[in-house]
Amino acid sequence: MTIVANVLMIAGLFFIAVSTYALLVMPDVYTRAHAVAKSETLGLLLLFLGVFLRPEMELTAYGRLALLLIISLIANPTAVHALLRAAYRSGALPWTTVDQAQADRELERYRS
Amino acid sequence: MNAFLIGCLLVLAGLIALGLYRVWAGPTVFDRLVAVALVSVNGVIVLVLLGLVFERPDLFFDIALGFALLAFLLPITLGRFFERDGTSASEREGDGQPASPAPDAGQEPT
Repeated sequence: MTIVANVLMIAGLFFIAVSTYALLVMPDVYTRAHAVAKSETLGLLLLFLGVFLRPEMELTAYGRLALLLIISLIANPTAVHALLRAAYRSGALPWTTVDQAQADRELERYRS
Repeated sequence: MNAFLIGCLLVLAGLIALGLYRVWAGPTVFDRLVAVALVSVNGVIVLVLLGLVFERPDLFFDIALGFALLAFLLPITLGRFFERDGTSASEREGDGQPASPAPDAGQEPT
């Protein structure tokens, strides 16, 4: 059982590492937040499922971990969505492959 | 399996440090808020794994719950705050419109 838990936790860490890498490499706020909202929530789910099967868990801890999992699954994509909506309404322009110099000029208007 | 948990904690600490680079170098404030959301979720996972390492999972899961709720509220609130050029409601005259070159999709008035 601990082997299955360890495998699930390693898979969860892999997806969180993918989302952190995407946060560093992606060219635009929309793509970065997309990677954070989806891949990190999946990594969190896999990692908490692995934590469920660990032998150090007590009986009172299962309910709290389930509550933590449900709250994180609902709250993280919602928070990132609200953030991206605010970014869109502040005039953040998505990254395009056409005329990067024009896009850089338009980036100056909302650079803060 | 304590060495495995400590290995996971070290990997997560490295990922938090990498996420902090985007907090420093994000060209807009929304990039920084997205990176703060990622660092906060990584912090929740660190707290959960610390609960396993110290073998007091009920205490550390309570702390993780509190931190997860705060991490949920922070990007939403600051996103709405910075959407209006960083001014609060008491400083404006109360029209509540978003910042000017906004391609407004015609949703609800604020």
